[in-house]
Amino acid sequence: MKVLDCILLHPTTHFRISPYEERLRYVIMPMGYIASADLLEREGYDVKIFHTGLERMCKPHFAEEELFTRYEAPVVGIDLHWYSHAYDAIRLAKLIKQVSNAFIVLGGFTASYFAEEILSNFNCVDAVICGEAEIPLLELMKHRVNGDLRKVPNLLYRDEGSIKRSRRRYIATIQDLDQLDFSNLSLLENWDKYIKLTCENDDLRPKFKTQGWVCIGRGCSVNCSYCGGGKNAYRKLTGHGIPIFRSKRKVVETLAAFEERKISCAYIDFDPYPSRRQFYHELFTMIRQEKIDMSAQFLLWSLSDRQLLRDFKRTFNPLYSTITLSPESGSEYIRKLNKGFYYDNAALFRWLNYAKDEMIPVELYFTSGLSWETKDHFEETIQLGRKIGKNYSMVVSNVCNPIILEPCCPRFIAPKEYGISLKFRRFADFYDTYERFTRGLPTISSLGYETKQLSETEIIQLSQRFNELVATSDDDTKAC
Amino acid sequence: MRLPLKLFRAAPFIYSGPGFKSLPCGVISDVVSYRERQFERFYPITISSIENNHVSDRLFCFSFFYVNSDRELVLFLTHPCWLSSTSQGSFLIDFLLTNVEEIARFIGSRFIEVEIHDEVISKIAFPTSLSHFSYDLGKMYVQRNGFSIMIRRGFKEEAAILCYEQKIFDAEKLLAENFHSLSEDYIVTATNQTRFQQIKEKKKMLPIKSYTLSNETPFVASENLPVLPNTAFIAHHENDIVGFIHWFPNLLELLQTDSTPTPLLFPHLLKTRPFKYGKIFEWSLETENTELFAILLLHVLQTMKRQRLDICQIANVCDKHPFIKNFLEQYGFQKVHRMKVLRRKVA
Repeated sequence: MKVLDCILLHPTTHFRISPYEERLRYVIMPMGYIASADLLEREGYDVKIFHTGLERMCKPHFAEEELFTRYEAPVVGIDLHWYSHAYDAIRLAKLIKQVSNAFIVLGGFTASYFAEEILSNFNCVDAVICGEAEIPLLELMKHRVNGDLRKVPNLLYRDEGSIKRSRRRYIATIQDLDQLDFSNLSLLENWDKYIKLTCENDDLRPKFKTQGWVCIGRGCSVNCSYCGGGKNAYRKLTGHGIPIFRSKRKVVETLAAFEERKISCAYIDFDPYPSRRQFYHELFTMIRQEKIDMSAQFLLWSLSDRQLLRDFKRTFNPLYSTITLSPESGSEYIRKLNKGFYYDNAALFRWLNYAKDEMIPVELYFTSGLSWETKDHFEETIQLGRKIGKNYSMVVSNVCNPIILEPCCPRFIAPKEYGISLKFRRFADFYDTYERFTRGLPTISSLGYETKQLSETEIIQLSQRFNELVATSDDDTKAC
Repeated sequence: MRLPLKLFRAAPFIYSGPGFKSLPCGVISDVVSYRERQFERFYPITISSIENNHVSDRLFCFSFFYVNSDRELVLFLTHPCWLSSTSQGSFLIDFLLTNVEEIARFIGSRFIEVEIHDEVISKIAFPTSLSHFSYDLGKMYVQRNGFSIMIRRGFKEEAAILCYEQKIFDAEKLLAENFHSLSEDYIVTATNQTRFQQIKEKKKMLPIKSYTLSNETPFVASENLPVLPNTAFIAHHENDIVGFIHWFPNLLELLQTDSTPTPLLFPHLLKTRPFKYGKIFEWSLETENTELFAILLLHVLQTMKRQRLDICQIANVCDKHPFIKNFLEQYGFQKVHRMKVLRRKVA
């Protein structure tokens, strides 16, 4: 048995679709997980990350208990960033408590938001790091030995039957972020398989590209009604009032390390100031200067000018480079009410023309279930999707997914103000739902809400209808 | 199992096959159905070596399964492409073939075929392959002894496929001189996408035709390309289809200015960018009738001339069929490219 100082586990969402078959979903890890492990290693701790879903993909009969016959560690961390891991994170915690004496700590946005409820209801969890976790996890490793958890920042923990919160607060600064290494993938078991997972619901089927997630910064400047990572959510969960960016030099170092590991596409999803994109112009210049050969999937949070597209085009290898944009709705009225960054359809078409001229493939995402959206509003979404499908062959993805309720998003905090009624209020609601998915049982709700205008079933059906009517196909291009 | 970025730099290519829209997303899913089983068609294979803890990509091969006209399942390899120089070339080819055989055995295929660019004399226009994966052969490092390397590894020559070229002006002039009073027995019309779909099966039945990997649908390389205006012509005699010809502008020219492996995502370029080369990649005739072929060829040449193209290439001419070869050579076409398809049984 190998003795480590810390094991970090990544849970996965299991969907049982028949007695003999389950599907693994939400398989991407939070970016900070690698950085947390790397920081521990640099401070002299033996640490390893296991992605339980990935292990299952590699070995269909993999059982998590088996890990603890090979490894032993006094501290086990489990990320609970996304609500979809609510059940599996707790399942893992229970299982580890049965087979070891490890101290179990959770972290991530969902764990942070529901920390008290989790500690009150699940004895298998010893502590939750609320907010940013890299330094607190390191401090936990240092102070757990003498039992003085008060010194661990951002920690909610169980102490002689009661739940206590440490008084120390940690909010990462730019300098802190620059101390972190988000590229040390070797700490993850089977990392070479992990980079083959290119989206949330991926598996290990043969594919062309490999992907790495790049941390550019943290925070947001606006509040979209449905987003649990917006400005107010960030303030509440981490204390960040405004977004912070890593230094460009550090981002370039991450990309160079990715290139070294044969990662072909950098996933970049951080664009909190659409009116001030100088950061990206300068970053792209540095990437070119360093001659880093990489593709990028760049998620714009709002429209850009033509110059940014041109700069993107000349910086990244075109093989797997795309720009992703989420107009969410075809109705300008609904978009304005729900999105923090507003643009009208005329501006969207102008931008699509720029992308077409610059020869950049585009991925577009729409949604159903926005606040105040009616079926008539959704017709506008279908019309917009169709028009785009017909006129823009370079739109390689044009899909619609229903919104799922995210903890701490404005709609969750103030449902009445946003015209929705909640079906998920507590952590237990998320936990029960995802437990049912895992066991293949029917659920009371899968989205966690309905709006005044639309039932949950209608919201799901609208997205399905969009995908049936608008879904992109090669035939569209053939008709050129 | 991946397609490295380095390939696009070392050997720019165009992918025009099924699911080309999703290549930028890094996944092309095309499923083969064969004897009540379904499996992925494409297997992009990269061979890497590790030296001093550093992983270097050495060799790439785009491979895919197809069902040939005899209903055999074949694993087809495009010309293996060297990504960096190495002293272990022979070992890496063996390693590639070992892996390829493993994939073939796992899926249940008994045959492997490989396409080798045996002779490249001039600039070769798109498409440069029997597959949907066309390398810019001017940029790709083509090993001179590629054929003998494979022969030494038990492959046997299945076919030699030629490509000819001629200046459009000269070819049209020569043909027009010799066929100045064309028979009125044939009516030639341009076809569109809809009509093309309708006549697909009929044109396949014509016996004298360009080389293709398989007559089995849906995997025929030429059928995935869009039918642009005035690029596909049908010859009718009375009410029967007796001939067909299809050409495409040289998309590889776009790689000089507009770097993308999937130019079909940007069809507006086909209208706005000037092309120098056009390539006839598919043709079929009811009989070995020089006049019929000349009529179809003249239609293409005249269209190319109107579109201000300079050079016409005609590809997929099987070395074993003297009719088209003799015709082309008689009218001044020069051989510019020879591909060989080699085959071996899975051990």
